[in-house]
Amino acid sequence: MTPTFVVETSTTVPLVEIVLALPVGSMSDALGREGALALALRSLRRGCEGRTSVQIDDEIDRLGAEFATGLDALQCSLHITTLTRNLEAIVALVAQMVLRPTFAEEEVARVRREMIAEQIDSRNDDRTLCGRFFRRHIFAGHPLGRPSSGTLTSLEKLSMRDVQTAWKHAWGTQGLIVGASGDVTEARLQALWGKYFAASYRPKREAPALPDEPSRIRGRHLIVVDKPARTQSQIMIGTLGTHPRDKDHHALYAANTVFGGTFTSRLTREIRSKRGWSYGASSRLGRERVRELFSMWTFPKADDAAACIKLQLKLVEKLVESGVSERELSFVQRYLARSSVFDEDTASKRLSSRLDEVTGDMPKGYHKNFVRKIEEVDLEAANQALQKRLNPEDMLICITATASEQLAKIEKAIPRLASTRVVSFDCDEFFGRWW
Amino acid sequence: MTQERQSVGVSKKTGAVDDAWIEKLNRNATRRSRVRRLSPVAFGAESIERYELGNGLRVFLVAAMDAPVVSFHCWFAVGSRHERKGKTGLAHLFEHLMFNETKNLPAGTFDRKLEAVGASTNAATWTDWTFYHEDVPADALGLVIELEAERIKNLVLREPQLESEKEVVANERRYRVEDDVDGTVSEVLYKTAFVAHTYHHPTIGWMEDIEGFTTKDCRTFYEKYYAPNNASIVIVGHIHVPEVMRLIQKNYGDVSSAKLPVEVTPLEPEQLEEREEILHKPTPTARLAIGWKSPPMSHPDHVALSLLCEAMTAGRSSRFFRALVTEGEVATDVGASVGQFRDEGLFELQLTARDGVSARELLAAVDREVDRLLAEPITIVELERAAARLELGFLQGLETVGGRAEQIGFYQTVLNDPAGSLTRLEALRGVDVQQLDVVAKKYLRRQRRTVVLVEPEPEVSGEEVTS
Repeated sequence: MTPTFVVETSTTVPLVEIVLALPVGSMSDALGREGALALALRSLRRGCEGRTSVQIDDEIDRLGAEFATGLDALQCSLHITTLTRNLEAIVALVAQMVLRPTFAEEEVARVRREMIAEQIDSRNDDRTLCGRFFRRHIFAGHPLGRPSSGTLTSLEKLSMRDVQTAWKHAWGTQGLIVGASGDVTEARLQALWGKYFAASYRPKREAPALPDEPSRIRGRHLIVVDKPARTQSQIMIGTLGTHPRDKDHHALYAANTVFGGTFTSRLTREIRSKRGWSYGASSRLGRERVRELFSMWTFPKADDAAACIKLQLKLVEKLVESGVSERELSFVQRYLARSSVFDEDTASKRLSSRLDEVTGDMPKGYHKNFVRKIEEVDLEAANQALQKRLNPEDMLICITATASEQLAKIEKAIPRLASTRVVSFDCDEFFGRWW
Repeated sequence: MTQERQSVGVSKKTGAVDDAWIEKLNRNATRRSRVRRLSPVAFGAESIERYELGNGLRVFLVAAMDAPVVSFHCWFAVGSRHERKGKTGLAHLFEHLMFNETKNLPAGTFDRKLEAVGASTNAATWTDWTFYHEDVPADALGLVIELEAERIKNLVLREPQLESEKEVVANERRYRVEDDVDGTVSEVLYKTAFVAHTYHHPTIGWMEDIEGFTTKDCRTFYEKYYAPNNASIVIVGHIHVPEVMRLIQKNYGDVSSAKLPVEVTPLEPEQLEEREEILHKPTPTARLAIGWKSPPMSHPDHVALSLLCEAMTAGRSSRFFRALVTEGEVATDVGASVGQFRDEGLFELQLTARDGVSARELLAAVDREVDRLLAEPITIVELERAAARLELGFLQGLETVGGRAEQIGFYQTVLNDPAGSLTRLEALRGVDVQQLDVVAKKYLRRQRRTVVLVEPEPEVSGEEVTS
């Protein structure tokens, strides 16, 4: 079986980037075994037939290369960057790592301890904490709400068999995409594949089905990620957003750009420019194979947090109720059309766009037609999309703050608040549906 | 800009102009706006065209026609090193204010006009420099030049915008320092390591200084430092050199040069003994930072020390990563860098401890590795790995027009060498293991170092989840 090859050639610099993308993600981890695929991916460089982990690390650095792995709920990927002159040597090495990993118990145990240490360390970052609990709650009970890199509890539980099986299943699943950008041609890439991978590549499993549509949050709910001595709050507010296949996807995308997608957008103007409350203020619409989120992000000082949340909710109410204006819409249409040149000014970005479509994250032709579809959005469509997709009464508000100082003020600032949860910043759980 | 446009005195191959074309351009020029062409400098496969206006403005142009985009950078040789006690953070606050109102542009218009043409813009301030940049579709470069020139000539500084921006910067400080343990560690490290030099204070400034700035402070700063003879413009991308130079002359040619203040940065006395600070923070894991005094970027040892740093700490094959992270399991990560400053800086090492490992234990582990490094110098194999990694990093920085513009602007501003990154890469290739051993023994001495230890405060969290 042959994978799909996607190549964007450029000789600007003597570098090559290769991506191996598989249609298997962390949602394939068994319940309670979250982190199995993540642990397997990271263990790939910890020994393969004929090489120890030390030899692999030495060789990657000697070649002036980088090897990294990526994982989300729906797919995983291996990323290689190398000096052109060492392309074949690094491909040969990675082939050994991927096709004949040893997954030695001692090495896997080391990686597990590394992952646990990183998770503990990540509790230092208030923004990461806010994002983590926001996602775990808004996708509660859905595969997208399960942590790809596991929890401390689930990582401890993983057996060697879990790890080996996770990789065997991932690599044994049909639908591998081999992408490359930079100083390489498709013929060269295919030749390297033929020499180092083809004979051993026999995927039998079919790609897992996509999960069901996540359910929409009902009512306004507050999560306080409680951390001591915070002088500033990290705030995320949001709900489900759009899917690239939605008929009103581009309309909502344009309307969100008016609201919080540029430096002069409504949200930035009101929160940062007028009031100086937050260094950053933006909103975004995630774009994936499964419906993703509409979310706003701000980080005011602790004493401004309640007022900031109140204003953000009011701004969303106004956005949905009164819509965007013709002038605002035509401005962002021009902005999105003209700035799209930066989506393809390097081979690496062009590869990324093509991979989006080949992997199925985006419908075929999504990037090519993006500007035209944005330009076709009219005012009525933009405002209808807002009304259909965003309900200001159904929002999750997540804040990293010191609960004993802020909770009462924040609760008071949110009209019609349905529920509140206070979660310690070092809480290791993820959650079932709770609203 | 279009590539097809041609005129007499313009090279068809590079778009570079010759003396005849310059003479034509200068026909009606004033003393300030007269353009002088300097010899071009090779920059890999490309060439940096260099020009200077009569008012002292330096211009560096690279025609790169791979995509219809351009990156515009304007670098000023002013940073937090030029600030004095009680007025720290002014260079950075001022950078924010440059996005506000000008004589011909009401507040908010600068960004709005750029967004209207699909451009993105930002800026950065550090110890020795401040720079502003735009990435823009090639056909809108003229607007960028016009807007950038407008704010260097006609910035308006008013109380309401200043008050709002002070609040924004205070929030930025909370984000980067007060509520960020690594930001705090870095700040304490420099504050302790430098007792006289202005590298002592953070670029973002002390909170009480940020809160105290007036419009008068800002106006004085603007008049002193934001002058063409203190700036370098770098433009890389899909450009037509003659058209760009015509626009530069038109928009910047009427700006007066300034009498730049004589710099009075105090000299840092030689550090003769180890310094140590211990912090207690609400962090789940201990932290450690060590700063050894390192030479200025222009010093011949800087290249070898940077290579030593890479060999010691970067990549999973490096000694420190292996000893402390993969095998020793006392740290989660190791980060290190050699300060790229005009004056003496720091060779910084930052580590995050594993759960249950104290900062003091981590320091003991680092000390063992430093001692080992001095007893068993870096080998040729380790050196080759480090050089390959640095080459990769350097090339990654050249992939975008913005990356190339930044390298040219940075090296011009700090080393007065727009192609300095390439010169440096060549120098790196010539370093041998003996040189690494020499700089290790010279710079990694205890009496030259400052240590910051962060120990976690006892945990304050209560119930894990309450509803």
